[in-house]
Amino acid sequence: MSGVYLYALLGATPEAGPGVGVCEEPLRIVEIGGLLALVGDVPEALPPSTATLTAQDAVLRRLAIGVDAVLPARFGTLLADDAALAEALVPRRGELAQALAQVAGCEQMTLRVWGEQAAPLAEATGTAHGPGARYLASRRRARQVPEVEALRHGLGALIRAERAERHDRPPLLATVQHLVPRGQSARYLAEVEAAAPRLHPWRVTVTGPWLPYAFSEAA
Amino acid sequence: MSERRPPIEVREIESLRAELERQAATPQRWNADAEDVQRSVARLVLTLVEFLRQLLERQAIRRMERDTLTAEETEDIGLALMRLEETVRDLAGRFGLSADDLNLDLGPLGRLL
Amino acid sequence: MSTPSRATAREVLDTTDSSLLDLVDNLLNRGVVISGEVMLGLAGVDLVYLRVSALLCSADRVIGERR
Repeated sequence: MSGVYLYALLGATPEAGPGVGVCEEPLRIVEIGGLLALVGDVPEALPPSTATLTAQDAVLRRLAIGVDAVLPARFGTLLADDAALAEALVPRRGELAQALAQVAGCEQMTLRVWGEQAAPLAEATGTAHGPGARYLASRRRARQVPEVEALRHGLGALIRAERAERHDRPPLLATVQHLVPRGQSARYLAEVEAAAPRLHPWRVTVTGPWLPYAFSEAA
Repeated sequence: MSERRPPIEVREIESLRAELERQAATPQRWNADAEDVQRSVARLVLTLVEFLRQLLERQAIRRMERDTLTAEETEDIGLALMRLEETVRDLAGRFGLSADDLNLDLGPLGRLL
Repeated sequence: MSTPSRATAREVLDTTDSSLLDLVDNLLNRGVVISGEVMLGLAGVDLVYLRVSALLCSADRVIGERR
């Protein structure tokens, strides 16, 4: 099924032109409700493989050199036509514009948190009054990743935003994504190395920099 | 500046792969089992409700963190979510469904959470 | 809208390269999702297609927060 394949939302039009996509198709930019959508007209959506995933990531990395804000779309986002794309994007343009503004000038570092046992849940701080509020507070605590607090402290303002997800599947305890200013990955890695002893008994490994895949919502 | 990265261990790679496989796994399509239509319907309904519950919980927590809920709203939403979680668990239990059973193919929505 | 086949998705996980695993995680599990779909089938036959883009917007982002 042919259609319009969405690669990303952009904060500005690339000066050098959009180039070509994964199927060697010429990319084009569609303006929808104040958003710039980077799309390609393809005969069909390619199935995910190491080659196609790497190729799509490479298309966006190349574009990001000349564009400050790039919000990647999920792999496989194929729509019937530009009208269908507009229908899907317009209701969310406020939210997507916010997400785009947040990732401008930034890239993503991905932390995996390893250990045999999760950190004990933080104590309730006692400001929640009723059972409902306490429940919500405990659900919030259950999603946090306190294991890397020493690292957060060391990274300081390098962290523009964070997305965390617990897996609790030892040794994989959690994943933390950090949005950092572009060009700071060496500093980030140096801090991870420096903080390692303070994270005991937990370990972290890092990949990146990536485009801000995990920051598709401004949270 | 050095770009040394902490090395990842083989066991760690395996658990990461297992987690990603769990997320990519093709769960069963819904099929009304002629022998137990009630259970099949319950499974479909509870899967959708559980998905929505998680979505609602996530959003409620965000609003709470952004301080855009009044104390009364926080209490009311918290109670509603708590009761929703209990209800889903109770009903699932009654039909002999585990948390893993509430995992029908939700396509890309399944990886939203 | 079409989505990648789940069966082929599993092949991409056949690696011990953590960077490659994170590439897969980023492209298949993250990124902007602009339309969700659920296919309901019965006895192996696809019968109902639900497009649920409304599910993906939080109300405050569409309507605006009150405070």
